[in-house]
Parts: sequence; C-alpha cells; structure tokens
Amino acid sequence: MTFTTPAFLLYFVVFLSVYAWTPPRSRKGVLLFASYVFYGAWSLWFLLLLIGTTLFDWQVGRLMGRTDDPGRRKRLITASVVANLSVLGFFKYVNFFVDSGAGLLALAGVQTDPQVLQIVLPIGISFYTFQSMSYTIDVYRRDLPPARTLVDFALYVTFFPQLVAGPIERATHLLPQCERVGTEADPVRATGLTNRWDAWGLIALGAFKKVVIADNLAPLVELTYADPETTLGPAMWLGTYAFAAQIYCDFSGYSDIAVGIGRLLGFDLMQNFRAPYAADGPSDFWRRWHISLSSWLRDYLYIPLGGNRSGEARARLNLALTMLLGGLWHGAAWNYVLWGAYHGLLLVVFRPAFLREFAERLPAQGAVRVLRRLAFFHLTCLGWALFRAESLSDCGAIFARLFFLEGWGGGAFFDAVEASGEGPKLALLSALIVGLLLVHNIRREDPSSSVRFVAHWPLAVRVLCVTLMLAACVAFAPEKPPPFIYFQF
Amino acid sequence: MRRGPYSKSAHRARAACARNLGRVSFGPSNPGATHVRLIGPVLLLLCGLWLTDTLLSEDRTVGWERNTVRNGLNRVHTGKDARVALLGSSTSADWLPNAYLAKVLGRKVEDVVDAHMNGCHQPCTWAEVRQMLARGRRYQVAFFGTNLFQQCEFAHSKRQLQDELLLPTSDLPRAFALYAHAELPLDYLGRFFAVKASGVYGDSGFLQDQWRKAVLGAPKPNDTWRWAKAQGPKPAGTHGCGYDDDEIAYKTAVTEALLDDLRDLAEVSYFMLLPDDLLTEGTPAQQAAWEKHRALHTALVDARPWVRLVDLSTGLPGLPGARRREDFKDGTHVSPAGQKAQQALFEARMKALGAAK
Repeated sequence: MTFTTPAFLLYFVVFLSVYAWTPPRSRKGVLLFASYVFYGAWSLWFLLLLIGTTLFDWQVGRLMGRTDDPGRRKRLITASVVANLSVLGFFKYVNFFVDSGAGLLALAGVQTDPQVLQIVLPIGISFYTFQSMSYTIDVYRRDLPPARTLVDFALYVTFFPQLVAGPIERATHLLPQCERVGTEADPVRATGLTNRWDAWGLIALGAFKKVVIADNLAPLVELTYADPETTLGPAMWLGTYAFAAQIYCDFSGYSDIAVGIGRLLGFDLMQNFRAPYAADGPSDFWRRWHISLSSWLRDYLYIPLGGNRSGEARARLNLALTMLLGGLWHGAAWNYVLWGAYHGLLLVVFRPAFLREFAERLPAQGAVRVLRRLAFFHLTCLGWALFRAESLSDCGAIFARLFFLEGWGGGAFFDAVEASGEGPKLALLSALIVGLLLVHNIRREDPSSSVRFVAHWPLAVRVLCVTLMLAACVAFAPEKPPPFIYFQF
Repeated sequence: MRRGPYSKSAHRARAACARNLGRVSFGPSNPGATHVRLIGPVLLLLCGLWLTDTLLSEDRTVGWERNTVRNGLNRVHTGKDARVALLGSSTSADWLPNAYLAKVLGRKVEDVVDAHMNGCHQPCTWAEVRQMLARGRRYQVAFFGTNLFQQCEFAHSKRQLQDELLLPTSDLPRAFALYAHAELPLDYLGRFFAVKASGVYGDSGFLQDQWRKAVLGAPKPNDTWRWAKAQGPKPAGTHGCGYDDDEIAYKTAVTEALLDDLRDLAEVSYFMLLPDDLLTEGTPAQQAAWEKHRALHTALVDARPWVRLVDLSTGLPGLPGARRREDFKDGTHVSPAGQKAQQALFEARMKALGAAK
C-alpha cells in the first residue's frame, strides 16, 4: 500500500474519517492501530517482526532508565544494537554475504554451491530499525529519558507516514510529538484535521513529483540502463540525467507526502531534502540529500568512530568507512557499496585544507559559482550511474559509454534522435532537468519549502494549485506505475 | 518511572522541543472564517473538474477502453434476437467472426451476437454476463475463451473501469468479495472507487496520448529506441503466467463465478482453451504452466455439466491447430495462417462434441 496507489487513498479516507471522529484521548490508540494496519497490509508476519523490535527496544530503554550501573547499561545497549543489526543483517545481507563469499572462493579456484535462502526483505526494515536503534542509543547517552508509555514508543517506531521510507526520525524530535497526541497541546485539537493547506500542498506536490515526473521518467531511464552495452554514449548521459531527476522526484516526493500527512495529523516531521542539486561539494550535498540518513550516520557512526577528533588521516578513514556503510545500508549489492565508496572518496578528496582554501578563494558569485555547482552535479550524476546499475559488470559498461562517447561523431546522435521521432520528448526532458537545476539553485531550498512560501498567495490560487497537481496525477498516471525506489531498501 | 539518571538538560531539551512544536503554525487561528472563504473556490474548482471529467468520459470519440465496453454493449443491445453469444476478449473473437461461427453451427448470421470486448478478461466477462442477465438476455449457446496469460492478474485501472461500467449495483458485493482473492485486494477496491469518482481515471491513456501528440508529435512506435540504442531491444516475449497460487487465485475464483453464471445465461456454454506460442516455443517452466492451466480448466468444466471444454491448445491427428510462432502475430493473437489452423481444429472439436453441422 504505497502513497500513490488507490489502495492508500481508500485507506487514508477511511482513516481520516475515523480519526476526525475519535475522542482526543483515544486518538493515540487509533493512530497506532492505523499504523499497524498500514504495515500489516504488506505482511502480517513482518508486522510481528516490527512489533517484536518495538517491544525489545522499549524494554531495553526501560531497563536502562532504571539503572545507573554503567556496565549494565553498556550490556543493554550492546544487546539492543546487536539485536537490531542481527535482524537487519539476516533479512537484508545474508544472501549477499553468502554469494560474495562464494564469488571470492571461486576467484581463488574453489568452487562451492552456496545454499541461497529464500528470504523476503521486510519493507522499511532499514528505516524503522535505524529509528528504533537511535532511541536506545539516545537513552544510553542520556540525551533522552525513556518513553513514558509503550504506546508512545510504539507510535514513534510505527508512525505510518514515515514508517517505510523515512524520514528517519530521532526520538528527541518525534517522541514528544507522539506523547502529546490527544492532549491539550495537540495541534489537531486546535485547528481540526483538514484545515491545513500547507499539508495538502505538500501531499499534492509529493504526488505530482512521483506520479507525473518520476514515474514518467522511469521508462526512459530503463531503456538506457537495460543492457547498457548497446546504449549510445549521449543517450547514457541523458539517461543518467533523467535518473538524477527521477530519484530526486521519487524520494523527495515520498518525503513530501510523508511530511504533509504528518502535518495533517499535527506532527512536524523533519525535512529530508534541501535542494540537493544546488550543492557545491560532497559535504554540502550530504547536508541536502536524505538529510535524516546522513545526519543519523554522522551522529551514530561517524562521531562514535572518532569523527575528526583524532587527526586528519583518521577523519578521512572515518568518512570513507561511514559512506561505505551508508552505501551498504541502501542495498545488499556491490554497486551500492561502490556508490558509498565513491561518495566516501569524494568527501576525502574534497577534504584537504588546500582544496578548501582554494575553493574559498574562488569568487562566491557569478559564473564560477554556477560552474562549481554544475561540476558537482555531474559528479553526483556519476554516482547515480553506479547506484542505478543493475550489476557490477553493468557499472563498467555504463562508464565506458559515459566516457567514450560512441554515437556522437558526425551528428550521429542527432540523426538517431530524428529517426526515432523522440526529439520533442528528449527536448522536454532536457528542459525538465535544466528546470530542476534552476529551481534548486535559484532559492537553494527544496521546492517543498516553497509550499510555505505560497502560503501568502490568495486562498483560491492555493486551492487551484493543489487541485491541478492532483488532477495531473489522475490524468498522467502511467499505465504500470513503478513503486517508490527507496521501498526496496 | 525513575528519572534520576537523566540530566536536567535532557528534560529541558525535551520540554523545549515540545514548546517549539507548539509554536509551529499548523494552520490558521480562526478555522471558521477560513471554512467560509474556502467554500467558494473549492466548490468552483470541484464543479469545473467534475464538468471536465464528465465531458471527457461521456465523449464517444475519446477513451478507447470505455468505448470498447460501450461498443460491446451496443452490439448486445441491437442483437436482441440472437441465440448465440460470443464473449471474452479479442483473442476469443478475432479468429471467430460471426458468419463463420454461424456456418459452423448451422445457423443464420443474425443468430450470433459478437459480445466480445478488447481486453475483456475473465472478470470483465463475468461482469458482462451479470449485465446481460440483468437485462434479461438468454441464449442457446455461449462461447468464451481464455489464454494462459489471462489466468494471471494484470492489475490496471481499466479492469475496474470495466467492472464499473458493466456490473449492476446489486452485484457489487459479489465483485468486492471476489477482489478479496486478489494479491492486493485494497488496490482493486481503491481503483474501483477512484473510477467511480473520476471517469477519466480508468481511461487516462487517451488523455496522455492526445497530450503526447499535441506537444511531442506523433511517435514512431517501432523506432522509439533508436535515439538510445545501437541495436533494437530484444522483442518482448509472449505474456505467460507463472501459475503460482497467489498469481492465479483471483482469476480462478472469477472463472468459477463466470462458469456458474453461464448456466443462467445459456443452455450450453463452450469454454475454449486458447493457444499461444509458448505451447511449443516456451521454456519448460512455461510449458509446465500450460499443463497446469489445462488441468485446472478441465477440472472446472468437468464439475459443471452445462459447460463444455473446447481444447484448442491440443491438436488432433492432421489438425495441429495454431501452435507455431508464425501462427501468431504477437504470441497470442493468431495470424492469417494461425486463423486457418485454429478454425480447422475448432470445427473438428465442435463436431466431436456434436455441436457442429
């Protein structure tokens, strides 16, 4: 049941109607139940796994709250981290490591016949495991007292708008909001459920990004990335640009809908994107792309590894390691590891002081600034090529196509475009990419933040915008809409 | 709960977070006034959208999915005196023209009504049968055929459009109960209500097509890959069906409902197992799926004496039927050569059943 399916629309209408008529004191329970229904629609077995994770971390938090004994607290947090990572490891990485081990043995000349387990990846497991784990770590660090009730904590782990693809919330931010549901402090009690045009605006914008832009770009990307050895060089670039637009509109579209639904229910979820294609360097990019994951990795991995406190060399190693694991978090495949390593490398390369000084001496305005951002956008696109590749061997073919521009010579590409009759479509795609870069770079904020900007427009215009975006989703829905890209993680 | 181990700053941080959240503007302070200001533009917009949606849905020149249903119903309506009904999708009907079927059965052409609709799989055929029964139609003979690929779910909003256009309201509970057998029942239900709310939704393909033509020009369907590839993509294989229990549960349930209701529609119904090129060209797994398909439908028909099986997927001596790749245009629709082979086998099968003159 994904946000842009009729099933979710039906679920959401029923849920909103029930929620609106529920007495405030029962709302928390209804919200939790609705979240379990939302997740259980995929699989009841995996719902049990989610409940198990919730109960385990709730108990760990409770026990840590009752003791001052550092040894006992350490054992508890170790148990929580090991349990969470074991669950994640089993469902997500067992087959990957078995396959990779067999591949390594084969390289050494030892032939094995690995038994691949038939494991189905529970949807959203990477997201809710990290969210639940951040709670126990925060309680361990005494950044946060344990949750007051199990229902509050369960709602924090399970809150349906962000359950399956984030944003990965922190307990310090989301837990207090769960605690206030139905109380006097609950914004829903003051203003009602439907009276929030910024929330509806975000939902409509997210649906528009996903259904109208990302889903219609998907076939074009698929055409260029399927069997890349037969793809022409210029087409590979176009496909890569298109994927950059697709993955941004797909994932930020999901986040917009999640934040919008959250706001509708009186929750303030964290912003996950901030115009990532306006970044002028790798660290700037990671402050703008999937912010909830990058800040999680910073706080719970990079800093505990030592951060930049133990010298420059160690800091670079920590960065590389963090990004490598960040890549692996995305998926159990070598191309994701490679993508993580690539971003780690960018962070390490851009880190030396002389590079920073050089960059700082460059004029911060005008053409140089534009060129810097444009150059980094291309570096990001090369990363997306690794991310989108269907296998490690495809990565080589893709990069060969990107850098040995077969098909350009003598206007061959333009002849091919002419022969295909797809010229206007590709022109539209190019305009879309340029438009996306402009939108990102003019305000350097995510388009979702412009929803607040348009709050000053006349009400009729706002209503018109929301309605037109939703009508476009109906009219331009592709025949076979692909699922959200980040659902596979 | 003990709070001892936690610093005051942790509690202060949580309290500050809660206070800050209280300051976040979630909406206007005077919702009543906003409601009044909202009603005008919202009503105006809804009216505009409803009008556009209705105009596009009712226009008979646009919307092929809707029109194929309309055309099928029109033929049923005009062929009031028909005694033989040909149901199903294009793969059931495009090799079985009325005149030919009438000749095989020894009847007049007017006795046969072509009630097929393009893309009308088992659920749509069941809905059409319910519609015919609601209109009081009764026939002496009904024909209906299914391909292997049709046994798997092919979820699409046009399927719910067919349900919405064809099913009498009193049959909706039965349809929703059948949806429960689908892999994603809520999606089916959601699509049905979305089609109810917007006529355009179930048939948005025509809008996109018009828009593409207007903005992007007429595409060259067989050459669209040329801008991207040095050589054309491999031709897409024929639609098959893996025949996993989950994949076929919905269509099996609907087929049972359809075969049961055919008892009320016709004195005798002929259920045709339609071939495809996977019969001889498919992988072992695809051929195994074919065997399951044949066995399932044989069992379904054997349990219903008012239905007879016309197996066009198995040849007879000297009459192989359509089995070779060149017998098909696209793997499932027969070519002119395939049509002749299929008709010859059909006639032989009908004679064996004592139904052909």
